[in-house]
Amino acid sequence: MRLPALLALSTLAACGGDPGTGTGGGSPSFSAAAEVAAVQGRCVTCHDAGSERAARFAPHPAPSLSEVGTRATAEWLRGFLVGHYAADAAEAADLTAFLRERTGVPALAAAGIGGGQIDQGGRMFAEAGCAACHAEEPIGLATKTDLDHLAAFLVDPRATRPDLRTHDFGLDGSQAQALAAWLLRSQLVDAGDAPPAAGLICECFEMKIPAEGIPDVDSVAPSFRGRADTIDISHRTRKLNYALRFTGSVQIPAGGKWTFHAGADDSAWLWIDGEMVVRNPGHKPFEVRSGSVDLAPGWHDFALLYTQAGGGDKLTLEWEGPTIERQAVPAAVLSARTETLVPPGFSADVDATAAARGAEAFTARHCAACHADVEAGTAAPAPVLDAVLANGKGACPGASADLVAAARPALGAGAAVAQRSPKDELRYRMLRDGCLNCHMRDGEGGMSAAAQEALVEVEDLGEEGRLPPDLTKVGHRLRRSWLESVLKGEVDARAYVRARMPHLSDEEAVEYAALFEAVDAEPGDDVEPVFSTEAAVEGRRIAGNDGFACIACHGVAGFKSTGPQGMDLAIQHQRLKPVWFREWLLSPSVHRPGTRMPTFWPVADEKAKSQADAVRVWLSLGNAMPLPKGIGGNDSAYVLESDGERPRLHGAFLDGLSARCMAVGTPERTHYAYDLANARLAWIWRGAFMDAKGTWDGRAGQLIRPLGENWVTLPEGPSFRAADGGAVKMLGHRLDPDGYPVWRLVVGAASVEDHPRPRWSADGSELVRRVSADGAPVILVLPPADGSVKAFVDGSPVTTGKLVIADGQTVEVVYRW
Amino acid sequence: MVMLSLCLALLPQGPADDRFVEIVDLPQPEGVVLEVGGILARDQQLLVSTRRGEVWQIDDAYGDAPRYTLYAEGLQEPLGLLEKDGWVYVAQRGELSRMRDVDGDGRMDELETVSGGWPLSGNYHEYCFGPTVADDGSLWLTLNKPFGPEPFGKADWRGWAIRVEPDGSFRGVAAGLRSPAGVNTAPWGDVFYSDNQGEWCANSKFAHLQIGDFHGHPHGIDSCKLPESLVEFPGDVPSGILIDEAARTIPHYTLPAVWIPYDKLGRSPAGFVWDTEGYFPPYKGHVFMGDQYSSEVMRLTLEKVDGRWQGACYPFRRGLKCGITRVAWGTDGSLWAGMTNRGWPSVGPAKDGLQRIRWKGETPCDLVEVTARKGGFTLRFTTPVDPATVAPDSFAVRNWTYKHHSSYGCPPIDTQTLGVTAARVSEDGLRVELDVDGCALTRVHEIEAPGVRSAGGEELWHAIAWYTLNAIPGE
Repeated sequence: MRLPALLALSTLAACGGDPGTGTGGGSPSFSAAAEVAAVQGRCVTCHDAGSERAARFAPHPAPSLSEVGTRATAEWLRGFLVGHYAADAAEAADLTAFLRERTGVPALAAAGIGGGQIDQGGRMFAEAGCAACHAEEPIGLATKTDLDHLAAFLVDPRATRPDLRTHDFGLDGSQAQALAAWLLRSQLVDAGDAPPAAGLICECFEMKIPAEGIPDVDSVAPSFRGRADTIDISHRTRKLNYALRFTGSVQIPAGGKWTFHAGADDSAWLWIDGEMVVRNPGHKPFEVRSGSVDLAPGWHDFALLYTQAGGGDKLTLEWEGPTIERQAVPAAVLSARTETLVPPGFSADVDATAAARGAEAFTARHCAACHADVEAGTAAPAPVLDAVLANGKGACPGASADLVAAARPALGAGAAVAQRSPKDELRYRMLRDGCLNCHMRDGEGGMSAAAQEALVEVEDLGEEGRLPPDLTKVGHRLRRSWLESVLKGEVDARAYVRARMPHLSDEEAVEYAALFEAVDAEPGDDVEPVFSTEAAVEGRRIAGNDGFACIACHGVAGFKSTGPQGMDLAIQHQRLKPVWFREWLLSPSVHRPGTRMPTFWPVADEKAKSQADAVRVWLSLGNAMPLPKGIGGNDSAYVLESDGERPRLHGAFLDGLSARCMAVGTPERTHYAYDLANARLAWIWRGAFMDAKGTWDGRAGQLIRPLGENWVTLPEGPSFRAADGGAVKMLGHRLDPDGYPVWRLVVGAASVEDHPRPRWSADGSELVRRVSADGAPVILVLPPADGSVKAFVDGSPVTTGKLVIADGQTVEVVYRW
Repeated sequence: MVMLSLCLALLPQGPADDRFVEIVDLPQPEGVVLEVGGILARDQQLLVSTRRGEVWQIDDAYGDAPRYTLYAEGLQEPLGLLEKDGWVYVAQRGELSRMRDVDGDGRMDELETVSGGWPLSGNYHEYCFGPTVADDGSLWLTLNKPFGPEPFGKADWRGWAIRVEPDGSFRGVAAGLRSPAGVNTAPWGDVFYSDNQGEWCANSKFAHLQIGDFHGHPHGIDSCKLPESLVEFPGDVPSGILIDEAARTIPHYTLPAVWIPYDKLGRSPAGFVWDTEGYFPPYKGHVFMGDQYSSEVMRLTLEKVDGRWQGACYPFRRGLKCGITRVAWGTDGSLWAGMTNRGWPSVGPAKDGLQRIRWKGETPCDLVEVTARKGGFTLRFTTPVDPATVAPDSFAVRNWTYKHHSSYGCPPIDTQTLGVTAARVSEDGLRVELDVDGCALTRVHEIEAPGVRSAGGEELWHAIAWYTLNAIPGE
C-alpha cells in the first residue's frame, strides 16, 4: 500500500506554495505541504528538535508490525523494504528474515468467492472514487496476501494501520470481501468448464434473535452447514431463536428488472451482489415483502438471512422478471458457485543468520522508533535535528531525499511557530488526510479527471449529483453539529453521490468541525427567522405545487420527489445555517455556477427574503413537517398520508390497543388513534402516518403500529369517566367541515363530544382536544404529570391527571410532547 | 391453472354464454381499488363498500364515465350495505353502523353505531356480513369464525347469526356457521345464508337461518350458554359421522337447503339475491349467487317440502373477471357483481372491480328447475324440448353424501349411479318427469340431461343440476 503516500507527495509537489491567504488569519510564511512532509518524514521521532517542534511535527502512529509476517509474503516484504528504508536488496532480505522471525510466517489460505463478487468489487472501486487517492490500482497485493487478510483490513483499516485517518469507509464484511476479491483477482484460478455446484450454502445459527436489526450471526458457530436446494426452513436445528443464512449465487436468465418476494415469519433480508434488495424485518406473522433490482444476465452473488424468534416459522422466496412470471426461485438457478482465489506461494523457513543481520539493521536504522511493537536493540542516538539540517546533504536512512527536501522548509527553527493558526491547521490537516484529493476548497484540490470519470450518476442532478461537494466556506454554510455527524459517518445527505466519504474517529470529527467553524463562520450566521404559523403555512405553500414546487427535485421527510431525488428537505433545518440558507435560496447560481437549483427570485428584495425565511420556518418543523402539496403517499401503495387537504381515516387492529381502532392522519402530520372498543384517545404521534399493508395486503389483519416519530401512548382505559359512575359508550362520530372526526359518546348521563385537532407551534405541533359535556359533568382522564406528554388548559399545565368538565361546558385541552 | 382448465373443459358445453347474457365492465379510475364488500344500487348511482374500509359513491354508474366520490373511509372491512330509513347501514367487523350524507356533497357526514359489542379477537377472519332485514323488521348479521392467532383473546359469538334488537343489543339466533359470506332475506321473509366448505362444513352450502338452529361448526357453541343466545347448547359435536347421522343425532342440527358441490359448481359461494322481478325472465323467483373462487354466478331454486326448504343449484354464467363477493340488481335490471380476490385467489384476470351481467333478450333452452317428487324428479325447461330426445338414457343421475367432521371439507362419499327407469315429457315439451331408483334422503343428487335437445335441435344452455334431497313430497 505505498501508492497513497506517493500520490500525496505528488499532490504536494503540484500544490507548490500555498494559495492566497484570504481571510481567517493564515500565516503568510506557512506551508502546509512542508508541514505535512515533515510529519510524514517522521523526522522528530529520531532527531531531537526541542519540545515545540516535537509537538508540532509529531507523527501519527506507524503501521503495526506485530503480525506483519503472518499476512505478507517474504517476497512482498523484501520488495517493499527496498523502497522503504533498506539500503539495498540484501539488507531488505535481512530485515525481512528478521521480521519473519519476530512476527511470524505467512498464514495465507485459498478463499472461495461467490460468482459476481469480483465484478461487484470492481464496480465498488470505481463508483466509490477510490481512484481519487489510488490513481493506479494498488499493485502487488496479489503477491502479498490473501483474501481474508485484505478484507479484514478493509473492514477495520486502523487495526493494523493507525496512520490511516481517512480510510474507514464503513464497509461491511461482504462489501470488503468483494472489494478484496477484485483487488486480488489475479489470484483467480481458472475453473474451466466445471459445472457450478448445485445448491446454496445453508447455515443455521442458534442464537437469541434481537428485537430489532440484523443479528450478527457470525458471532456464533453454525449449528448446521451444508447444501440447500430450496429456500425454506428445513435445515433449522431448532424451532425458536435461530437464524438461517443462504449464500451462493443466483443465475439471472435475462437482463432487466427482477423483483424478489421474500416471505417470512419472522424476518428475512435478501442481498444481491451485496446490495440489500428485500427488507422484511420484525417479529411478526408471515408476511411477504418485495424489492426490485436491475440485473444483467449471468451469475450474481446471493445472500439471504432469515430469523425466527418465536411463534410460527416459515420462509419463502419468489421472483419475477422479464422472462419469468412470479414463482418460487427454482433450485436450478441457485448455486454456491464459488471461484477460488489462491494466494502466492510462501515459505515458512526463516534464515536465522539473515535474521540476526536484520536485527542489527533494524536497530541501526532506528526502525523501532516508529515500530515500537517489534522488539529491538538500543541504537546510538541520532543527531539533533538542527545539526542534520545544517549539514544538509546527508541522506536520512529513514526518509527519501524527496521527502526530506519537501520537509526542509517547515523544519527550520525559525519557521516553526508554537501553534498553527486555525486556518493553517485546517489546511494542513486537509492535505495530510487527503481530503483535497476529493474535495475542493478555496479553489484548491478536487478529484482528478480520471477519478471523476469513474464516478456514476444515479440521479439526474448534474455534477452536484456525482462529485464530492466543494468545501469552500463550509463552516459558514453548515451547522457545526451537522458537520460532525457527516464526518463521523452518522448522516449521509447526498445518498446519490456514490463516491464514498471515509468515517473519521469521533475525536477527529469534532476537531475538524470546530476548525471549519473557526475559519469560516461569520457573525450572525445562526440567527433564525421568527416562528409564526403564518410563515410555516406560507413556507409549505412555496415548497409545494402551488408555489415553486421544490418537491419537483427534493423529497420531503422520506417521501420521494416527483422528479430527480435531490436532497431531502426535512433535514435542511438541521443541516444548514439560517443566513446561508437564505443566501443560497435567493441566488444559487451566484454561489455555485452551473447548479441545477433554479433561481426563483430574480430580485433578492425584502419580499424574496421573507419568503425564503418562510420556507426556513416551515423546515423548522423537522421530519414531522406537514407535507407540501404534490408529494406524499406515493412511495408505496400502502403508505398512507393525508393529501394535505383533509385528514385520512384508517380502521385497523392496533398493536396493544384493540381490534376496533381508527387512526386519523392529518395534513398537519400530527396524528392520533382512537380505540373505539375502549372509548379512548390512545396514541398520538408525528411525521409519517400509517403503513396500511398489514390491513390491506393479503388476508391482512396484522397488528399495526404507527410510522413516524414522537409516538406517545396516552393513559389506558376510557378517556372519560362519568361523575355518577355510569357507563361509557361510543355513539359514533361526525366529521367537522374539514373532515376531522368529532367523537360522540355517552358518559353516564352526559352526552360528550370529543374533537381532537392538531395545531402547529414553534416546537412542532400540539394536539388540541376540544371536549364538551351535556347533561351531566364528566371526568376527562389526562396524562400523568411526570409523563412525556403534558396537558395544558388555558396555558397552564394540568398535573392532576384528570379534569372535570362541567355540564354544558366546553374545554380545550392542549397536548404537548 | 391446468387443472382448472381441465375441470372447465369437462363441464357440459352448451351454447355460448354471450348469446344470452353479456358482461359489462364498470370503468374504474386508476388508483381506486374496489375490493367489493357491499353494493347498494340506487337510481344511476352505486355505493360500494370495500375491504380497504372505504365506501365509494359512483354516479352515472351505467354510463361511460362514472364519477367516483369517496363517501367514507376508515371503516373496518365493511362487507355489507343496506339502505333503510334514510340511512346507509354498513356492517363493520365490530359493529353495525349507519351513515348519512347530510349536505349532499357525496361524503358521509355522520356515522352512528347501531349495534356493537360483539367482541373481536383481532383475527383477520372475523368478518361480519349483512345486514339483511328479516320479516319482523329486525336486522340480521352473520359473524365469521377466526382462523389462527387471536391476539386479543378468544371472542364470543364467532360463527353465529345474530339479530339486532331495537335498543341496539343483539341476540344470537343461530350457531355453527363457518364462513357465512352471504346473507339475505327471501321475498317471503325467511333469511338464508351461504357458507364456505372447510372444517365442520363438509361442503359449501345454502341454508335457511332459523332461530335456534345449529349448523354444525362447534367453534362458537359456548356462546349458547350466554343469556343472549336463542340456541340451546348442542353438546359435544362428534366428528366423522355421515350427514344423515348428524341430522338425526346432533340436537338442533340443521341440514342445508342446498349443498353446492365443491369444484363442480364454484368453491366459495358468497352474496346472493332473488330475481323477484324477472329481470332475467325465464328465472323469475330464482336465486343468483356469486362465487368468490370461480368468478361465476350460479343459480338456485327452492321448494318447501315437509315444512322445510330444499332445492337445487345450477350453473349460470362463468367468465367474470374476478372472484365475486356481492351481487345486486341494478336499476336497469342487470346484475352487478362486485369482486375481490385478495387473500383467496380466483379465476380471472382482475384483482378487484365491478361488472354487471345484462340479459340480452333471447330465451335459451335451459334446464330451469328440478323439483322432487315421489320416486324421482320433475325437470322443467325454459322452452320446449324435442320429445324424441327424451328417453331414460338421455339422462344420468348419481347421488352421494358427506361426512360431518373436523377435517377441511369432504369429498363425495358413497357415490351411487342411479337407474333412470322412465322419462315422460309433457305435451307442451316444457316438463319431464324422471322415475329414478335409489333416491335417498340427505344426499346430493346430480342430474344431467346430456341427450336432451331443444325443439329446434340445439343443445341445452345448461344441462346439469344438483338437488339436495332432505325430504320427499308425499312420504
